[in-house]
Amino acid sequence: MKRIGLIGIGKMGLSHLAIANQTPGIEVKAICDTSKQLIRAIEKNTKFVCYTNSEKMIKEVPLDGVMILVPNAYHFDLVKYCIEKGIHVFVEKPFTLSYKDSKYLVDLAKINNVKGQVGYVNRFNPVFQRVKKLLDQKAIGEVTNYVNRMNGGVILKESSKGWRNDYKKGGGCLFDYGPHCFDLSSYFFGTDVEVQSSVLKKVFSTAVDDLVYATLLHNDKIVGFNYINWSDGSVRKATNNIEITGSKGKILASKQELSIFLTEANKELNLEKGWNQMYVTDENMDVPYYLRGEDFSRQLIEFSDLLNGKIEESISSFYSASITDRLLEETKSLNKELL
Amino acid sequence: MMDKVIFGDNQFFGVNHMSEQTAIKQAQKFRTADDIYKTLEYVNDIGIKSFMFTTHNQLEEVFEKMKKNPKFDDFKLYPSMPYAHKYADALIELGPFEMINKFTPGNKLVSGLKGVGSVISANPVPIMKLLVDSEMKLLKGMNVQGIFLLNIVTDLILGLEMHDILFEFAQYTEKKYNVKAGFFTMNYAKLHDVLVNKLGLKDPIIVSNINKIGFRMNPSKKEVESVLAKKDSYNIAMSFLASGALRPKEAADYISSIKGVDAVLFGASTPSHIKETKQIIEEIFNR
Repeated sequence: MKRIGLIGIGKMGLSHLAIANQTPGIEVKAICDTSKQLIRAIEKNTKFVCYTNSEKMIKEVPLDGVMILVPNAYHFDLVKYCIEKGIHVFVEKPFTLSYKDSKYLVDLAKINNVKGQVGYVNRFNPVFQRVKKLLDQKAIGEVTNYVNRMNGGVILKESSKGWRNDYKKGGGCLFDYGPHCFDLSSYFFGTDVEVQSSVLKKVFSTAVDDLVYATLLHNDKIVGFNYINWSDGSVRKATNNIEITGSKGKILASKQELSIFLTEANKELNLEKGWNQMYVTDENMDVPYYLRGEDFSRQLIEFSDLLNGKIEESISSFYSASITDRLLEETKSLNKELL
Repeated sequence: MMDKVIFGDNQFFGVNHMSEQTAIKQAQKFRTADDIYKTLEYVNDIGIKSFMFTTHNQLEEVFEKMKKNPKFDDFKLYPSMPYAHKYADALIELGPFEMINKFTPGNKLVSGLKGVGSVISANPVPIMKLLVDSEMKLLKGMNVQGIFLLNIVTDLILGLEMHDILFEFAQYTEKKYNVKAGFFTMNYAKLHDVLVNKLGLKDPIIVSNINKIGFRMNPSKKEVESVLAKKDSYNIAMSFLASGALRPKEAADYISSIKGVDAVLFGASTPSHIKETKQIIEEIFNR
């Protein structure tokens, strides 16, 4: 049983705490948050040992792993501190606020033999994992191009206030939704990727982007159009939709469903010529504990496996997350002016 | 105790676990309170006498119409709470103290202080009671036969092992409203163990996914089946059609083949589907 601590118990932090507490192979030993009121409430009502200072927690409690769930601006310092102490790390996305910092941590973790995972939860979605497998099996032949869309209704009215309207505080659609969208692109098509062009546009915000159009080129041969919009009032919650075209067919996928079109039947994969429909219900999705969807439970099973040495590297590693940070930077710098 | 056939509300609010498109299509049918009311009227007319729903604000108008129609006098309501978005939105717009005031029934100042006091003293039980009272305000004078805790809350409490709150909730609904508590969960086996073995609740009502393909039966279909068969809880199956992945006949055959399912909760948006599903469920229990 590996011992872990959690730093930052916000809304997602509380969910992570519940999930981690029920994940086999790990045991939550201590938690930490700077809000004294919150910590007092948790301390009074749960069994967890509580701290308001993370360094104190790490000094006093022997831990194998730490989950860092604090605001993005603090990721770098905390991850660095844990790596230097030899503690394995799960950190929420995005990895850090700059590619330089992320790259530094990738190297530092390697030198210190520390394992890392970043909270790109889409990589643990059963449908997206099936898509990845189909791509690896060349089900649609050689992939030529794709369209990756992420839409949601975060900013739906004019507002000049709040952290979301401030780049310095991590605001803007590119830095909020962008990581998920780009990470999915590099999960499917590889980390040998660069941004070719980008356009950032305001809709309701006054100082940041609400829409992102970015063209990515993977491995000098797969071209992908990434369209990200957090001002779409037509969707109930954030949705990802991807259309992938290959030499032998096409894949359409979201978190729940997957359609695959083939120009020829594929007997090995049991797929017909024409359209084939698959649903999330076709996959085995059993989890030891469910709270916010299987993806979140499976993400923590992976961290447990990483700590227990069952896997050498996470499918959402520091390295792959650092590439996502690079893509965000390239998208921002290639855009001429905020429209 | 409860009816075998219980009508649910997902179709009214654009929820489908398998397909976003289906959810959108269903939500289009129910744009107004009148659309929802008419469906419930049909449901009541064909003899489904139990409705289980999340306490959405949009239902307030529907209930007002129902109160005026004596046909609904024997129509049983099973509210499921809390509808988290309502509180999350209020929390963002008003802040924690104003939010508690907004949702506090009766004397705003006094009960407001009660809530604020419990935030400060870090005791979640008075807050739970305030929230239940607030949600029940919507249903004053109506035929409420049970109060249910939604899975996002049940499972969070379960995950954090704050089991006392589940116990207090069950006590409170019985004491104050004279109805049994029920619990939605996506972790049937774990929750059953806590309610029955750890907390000693007698025949607790548990609503969970039970279907032939094992969709969201955690930790596994086999484990859930074996706990269901103990028959020491009142088990309501939801998603028995696995959000449309199963044909009604095979879905029903499966429910009949296992032990321990006491009732089935289902949703559908067209009269023919509602009627057909009702008959299928009734056949399960008549076999």
